[in-house]
Amino acid sequence: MLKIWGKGHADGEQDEARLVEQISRGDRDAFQVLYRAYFPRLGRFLGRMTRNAPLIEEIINDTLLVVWQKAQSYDGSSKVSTWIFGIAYRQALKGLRGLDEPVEFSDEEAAGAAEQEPEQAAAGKQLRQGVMRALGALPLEQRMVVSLTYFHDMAYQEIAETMDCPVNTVKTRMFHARQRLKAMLSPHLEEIP
Amino acid sequence: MKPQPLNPTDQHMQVQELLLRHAAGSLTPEQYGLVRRHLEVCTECREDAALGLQLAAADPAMPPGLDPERALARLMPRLDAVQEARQGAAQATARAAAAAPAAGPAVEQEAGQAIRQESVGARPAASAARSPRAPRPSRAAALLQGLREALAGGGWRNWALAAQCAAIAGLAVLWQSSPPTPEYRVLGSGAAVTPDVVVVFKPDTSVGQVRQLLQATGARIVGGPTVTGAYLLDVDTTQAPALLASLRADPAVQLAEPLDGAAPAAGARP
Repeated sequence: MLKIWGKGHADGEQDEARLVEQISRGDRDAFQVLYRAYFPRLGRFLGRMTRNAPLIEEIINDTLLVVWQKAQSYDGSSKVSTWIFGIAYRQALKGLRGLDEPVEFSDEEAAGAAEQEPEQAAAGKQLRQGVMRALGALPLEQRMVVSLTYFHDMAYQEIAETMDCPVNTVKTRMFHARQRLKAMLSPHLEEIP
Repeated sequence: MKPQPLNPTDQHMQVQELLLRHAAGSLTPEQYGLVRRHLEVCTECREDAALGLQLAAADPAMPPGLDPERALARLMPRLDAVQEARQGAAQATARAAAAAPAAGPAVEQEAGQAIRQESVGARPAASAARSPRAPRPSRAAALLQGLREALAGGGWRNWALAAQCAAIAGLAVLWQSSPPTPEYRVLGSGAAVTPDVVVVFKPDTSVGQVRQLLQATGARIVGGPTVTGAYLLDVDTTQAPALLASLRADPAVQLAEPLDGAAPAAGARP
């Protein structure tokens, strides 16, 4: 799933900052716009930590409630996405405390490439399943660094702010994650054309 | 930016970082050129590029069973509670600041008068539409009583402290007279109570000391100073017990107490 950044990306960031500013003045319509924009992103992010849909919804709600309460204190020193993902990550750690949730990959999530030939679609699905299984086998912090990098297009500095750790820690986690993923997925790597 | 000739190690490190965004299609043309040239000579980066493509292709969908509109509908009522609590605290602070500002042993009497006026008189505008509720003084009174007992003896400083406690108790009473809805008061992974803590600093405390303390504890001033110099703070309620301990241990802090449920109060219990 390629994303084209550039001018559109910068505009999106400005729009989000404007929404937060409106929310800080009690604008509930702006709040709903931001909520709907972030629900899928947070859903995918939290889906790397738990499969429990009601719990994910509760964590998203708690996150956006903090956004509602603290909008006045958002000072633009980090991107809106970094700020919100950071809140979500902390809420998730609190919400999952004590729960040892295995992150199993389910077949329903292999979003089908319906237009492809059946053989290609099956091969694609198998690759995706392999990747998701391998991701699930990583320790949580390594998995979240990979997720934020490849699925949410965050840079190391943003990940450091989101996960509240030094940039070097992010780099170390990424290094180890890549090593493990390559080891787990190496039989598949030859299949990439 | 013109491409600089890099030594092989630096080039490798640079490409390693670029590969994180390579599969997402977010590099510049120059960066793509640099990566392409380097991949011709570096096995490790070729493997990482292939991994990046795999990960990008496996970008997960949302987990099944999520319903954004249903979740949003559950959340909207909780916004009300936050706004009312914020308005209630702001108005309590404003009224306390408007009361007579004398210092010394007479303060307690005047503060007591201010409290009586506030308890009996006007209500926060936010709850005007609701039927009036009587303040619940039991916790505030118990807090005050406990502190008075703890301070038995000790001269004028204890009077000043007691006066400040009276003002705080008054604030706590006001806080409780327009309580948040049960949902808002919930616990768990959720909504932070704003404000959480009342703090009184010693008279000779500098602004720099206050600022340092706030930065160290991550606390934020959301109200105050009141007539007796009490500040209302917002803190991370999951860490409230530890933060209260830090505040109390600080030499600049005379008194630090939680507001309704953030953490156990020192000493007094209803």
